[in-house]
Amino acid sequence: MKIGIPRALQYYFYDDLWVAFFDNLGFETVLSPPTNKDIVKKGIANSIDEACFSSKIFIGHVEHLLDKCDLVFIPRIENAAIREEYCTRIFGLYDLAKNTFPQANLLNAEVNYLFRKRESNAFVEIGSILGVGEEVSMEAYKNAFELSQRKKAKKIAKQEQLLGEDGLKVLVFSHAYNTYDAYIGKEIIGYFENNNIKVAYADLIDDKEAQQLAKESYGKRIYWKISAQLIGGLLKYKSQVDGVVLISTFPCGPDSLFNELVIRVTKDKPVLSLIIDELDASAGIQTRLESFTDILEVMGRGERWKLAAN
Amino acid sequence: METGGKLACSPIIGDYHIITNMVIERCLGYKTMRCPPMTKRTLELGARHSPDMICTPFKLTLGNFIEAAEKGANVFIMPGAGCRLGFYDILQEQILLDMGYNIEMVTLFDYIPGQSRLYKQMREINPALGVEEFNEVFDTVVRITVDMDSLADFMRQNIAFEAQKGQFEKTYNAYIAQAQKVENAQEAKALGEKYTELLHAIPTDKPVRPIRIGIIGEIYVVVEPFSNGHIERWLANNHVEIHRPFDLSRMAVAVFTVAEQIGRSGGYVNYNIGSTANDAIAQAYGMMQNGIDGIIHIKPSACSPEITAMSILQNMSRDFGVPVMYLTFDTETSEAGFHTRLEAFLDMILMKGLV
Repeated sequence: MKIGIPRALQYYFYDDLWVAFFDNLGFETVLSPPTNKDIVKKGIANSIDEACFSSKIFIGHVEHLLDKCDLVFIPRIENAAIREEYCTRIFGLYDLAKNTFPQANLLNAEVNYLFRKRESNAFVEIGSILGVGEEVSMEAYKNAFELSQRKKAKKIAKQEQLLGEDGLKVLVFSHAYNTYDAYIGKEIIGYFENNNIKVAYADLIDDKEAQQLAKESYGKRIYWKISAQLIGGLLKYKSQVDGVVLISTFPCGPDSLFNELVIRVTKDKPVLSLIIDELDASAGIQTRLESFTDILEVMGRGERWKLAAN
Repeated sequence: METGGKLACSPIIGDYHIITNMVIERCLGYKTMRCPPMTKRTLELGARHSPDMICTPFKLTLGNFIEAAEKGANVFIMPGAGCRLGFYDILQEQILLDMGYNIEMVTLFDYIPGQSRLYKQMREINPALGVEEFNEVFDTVVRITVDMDSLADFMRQNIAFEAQKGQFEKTYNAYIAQAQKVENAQEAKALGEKYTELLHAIPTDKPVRPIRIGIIGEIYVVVEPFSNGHIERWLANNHVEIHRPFDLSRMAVAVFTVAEQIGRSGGYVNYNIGSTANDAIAQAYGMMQNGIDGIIHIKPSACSPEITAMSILQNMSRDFGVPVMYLTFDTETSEAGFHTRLEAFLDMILMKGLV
């Protein structure tokens, strides 16, 4: 039995957990390749025009997997706790995939804390669909969960060390499925790294800490998990970086609000806002990255006032 | 509570501001005003100060607030909960402050709506508010909402065929004007009954089988005529019986019944897909089963739950053979292009021989 995992959207929130869970149970997983032109093309062809670019990419990954595995793993995840929701595109992924590819065999279980459907319950359900007993699934889930937590803690520690180093640094404020996607964020991050600018990520922060920071600043709890996480990350790391880079795909619901808010409240640091769509205009992005880097370098040399005087 | 100098208003959403203003006056003790009527300027102002990618209701309600602030309003009441709507206040407040207006934003229905929660929220703002007083106001506005929605529903299905033009609208507007002044639920009930009779007595000249078109979609664009280019008026002028099972009274109930809506969707959808999209699918399924001639799905630009719903509606439309037209509204107001599409849609229904 081969289980396909689309390398898009929710995968980036749960990557280590999912792969480790199926590994622990001894199932073979097929991860779709990093997003490429072909996948993007397939995704666009099978999506409503107005859908967000990231969800088109997701649909492309699903189509890529259809003939390469027995089941495509698309769990329906509404939230990660009460008041920690994902966006409505992610709510609807299972129904979207089911309606786009009616013949596809999807492997699905629901996570929804509003109805006490915990993540662990969902994995037990997945196990039972695959013919694995409850205790074995639970054990596999626990191990996978601990592994993913350890990996995340390690990444956070590494980032904190990086932020202590000298040199120019930028903070990437973007959903994980954009930041780490080969077609969206990778080139942008590669550009900074090639220019000796260190990159920190707003999503590398402990979830509880992020919620707390966001709530302190905005007086109310932000019920979108990812936005709260990013806002928390921004508040935590802002003072340690020289600039903030916003990357979002067109059109993004949560970003349309929070990116604007970030731009409006971040008055002391340069902010670059990049919106990526299917038109693939990399020359325009390149120019904007270059001028942003110039600004960072000038400001970094303490020549800010000289620049203003000219 | 010191309320001197405070002038509150809520955005224009159909005629529902009469309800919100009643709640604000009677429960919070603020003076209220009506936002200036929607015009092209409202739209332009709102769009100029909003982020590009935001959904249209944000731009229009911001436009309302800017125009109201120009006239001296300084407290803005927004409904919250749901999708992006729950965060409109954070950003709109920031934008208005950046524009130099000294205002405060109050969001009702944060995350999970409900009568007792609403009372708690109102008590935080106005500690003098008694529970009985609140319940009285609540019952009154519920009565008015239900009545105005059912009057409007009847009007939509018959206005195209009225014997003497303008009768329906005149009667309905008279109800709205008087409903703002009722003191309690009994008065509201009596008023509602009176106008139901009046509205039902208006002579019509209706064919046995008129063209029936359903309107579904995102709640704001569905209920606010300015935002949908007065689509209902156009359809009525073209002799269409309009079915629009979307309004505030139904939505207030719908919030709690997503599971029930999924049950009425014929297996096309399995989970909550956000906001009012499940309702749209359930209503479309019901109308298609009852032999509607066509459905128009309307939404503001970039409304993600409704975009998910579109993928599902396409399959449903194919299976039932009922045409569905998708219209997205944003900040452009050119009516000619949109009327041409509506005409083509009506022609197509006629030619299909469905009628």
